[in-house]
Amino acid sequence: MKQLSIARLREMARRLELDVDARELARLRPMVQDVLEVGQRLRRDYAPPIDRPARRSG
Amino acid sequence: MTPAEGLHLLTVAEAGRRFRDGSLAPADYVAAFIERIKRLDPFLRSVITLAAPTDMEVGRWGGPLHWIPIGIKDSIATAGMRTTANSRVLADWVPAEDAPSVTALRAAGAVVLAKLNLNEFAWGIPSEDDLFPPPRNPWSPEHRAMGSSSGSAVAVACGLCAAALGTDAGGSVRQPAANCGVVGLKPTHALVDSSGALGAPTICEVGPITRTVEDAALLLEALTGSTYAEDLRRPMRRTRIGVPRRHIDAAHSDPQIEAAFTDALQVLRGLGIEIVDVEIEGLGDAAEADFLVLNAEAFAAHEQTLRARPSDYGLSSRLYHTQGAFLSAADYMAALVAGDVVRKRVDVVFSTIDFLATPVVPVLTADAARSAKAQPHTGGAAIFTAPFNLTGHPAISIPGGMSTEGIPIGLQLIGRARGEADLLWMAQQYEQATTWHQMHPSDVENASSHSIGG
Repeated sequence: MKQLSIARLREMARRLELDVDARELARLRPMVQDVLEVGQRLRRDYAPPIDRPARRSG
Repeated sequence: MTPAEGLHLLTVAEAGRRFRDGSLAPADYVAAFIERIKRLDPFLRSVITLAAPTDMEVGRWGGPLHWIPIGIKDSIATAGMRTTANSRVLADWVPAEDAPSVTALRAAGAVVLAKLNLNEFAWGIPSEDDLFPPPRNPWSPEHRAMGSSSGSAVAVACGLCAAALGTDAGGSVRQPAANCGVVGLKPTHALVDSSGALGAPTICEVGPITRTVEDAALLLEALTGSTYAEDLRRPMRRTRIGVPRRHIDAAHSDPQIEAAFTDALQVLRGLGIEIVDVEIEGLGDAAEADFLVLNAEAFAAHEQTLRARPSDYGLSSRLYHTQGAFLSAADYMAALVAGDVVRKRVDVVFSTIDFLATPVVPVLTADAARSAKAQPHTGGAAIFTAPFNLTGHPAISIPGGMSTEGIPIGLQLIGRARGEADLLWMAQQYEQATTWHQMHPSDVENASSHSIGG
């Protein structure tokens, strides 16, 4: 995953209407980078099935 | 020696026996804890609120916990008693009702003695400017105790209450218990009614922190209405314990923790237990997924308050609660699927073994667990504990060693879902074969009379 820049994080926070200042952005950046990487890995390896599991009839 | 001296060292089970044979007056017992809190806790910082005498009344009939003074993590609601979660957000919140776990303990006769310190909302890294600064580890007072149920573990270890309740969404009962040399149990998901306790509902369980395994069984009986203590007396039987070796090795634990774990396995072998290596693919994924669920659910619960009153959160807690905003629904769903997948893998392994064993935490101190390198926000320091929050299996931390610096080390045993009776039995077999649980942080009495900076 590409390194998350402060500018990109600021834009993401703006879209989410989060009120975070420069100091908070600097501390959040590696944390958000980590959780996004975890999410990406889990989505790749543990994606929910498209179809619902078949239910036994009767 | 005063008559009260030593009363704090009685286990819950011993105190109950002495109440029944008339050799100990309940009021004297409770008074001994109050005296210790007033004398020692200004230094230890484990207590947020000491109950008023009117809050300590118990009913006429004594249940199995009759007059046993219990501490409650301050994120668990207590009727008429301030419940702050160590946050300025709830600094003045006085719940109208007890959480069901507290109701259950009171119904068994327990006295709610004190509300206990924690990481703010059980999620974040404590600091000195928190509403209530973090508890010191009584074994090594220059270190803070691990969290998030730090106050619960410190208070039990130091004899400020006979037992305590904590909450555990990734290791927050087991890690502080290990770090303070006491027992911490995370029950099977939803075995204990954990409503009324602030925490991520999918993964957070209320659990007891006690001095012995027998005491954990007694509290679990009160919390669930089932019997556990009687099962502890079953004789040894053929038992096989699985060690997820690859997962443990990948954590690169502190060498002293690795050595203590090796010694613990040797003790178990000495009991005639077969130890086998097992492979459970995805335990590391489950630890990370557990924290992703925690992040998402923490933000969901706090979003409105974070937006309205951001400055009422400490900086660390504010950031920890905010990071979940950046996750997607697909992230959250994948994390839940990871839990289902790994739960099934663990259950398959449990068809060939009776218990799993791991260390509790790969580092010795709270500072190491909370360092950026440990990536606490994604579960790095909870690599051994968090998987079983997401899979829902019960897990217990019992004293299992001591570092050269004098900081306790824990052993974690994991059981089958709803297998608490067997798990507690196994834990007590180990406990009785060792002396770790008999050690007490005696230096705290001296340390509390000296000032320690930071």
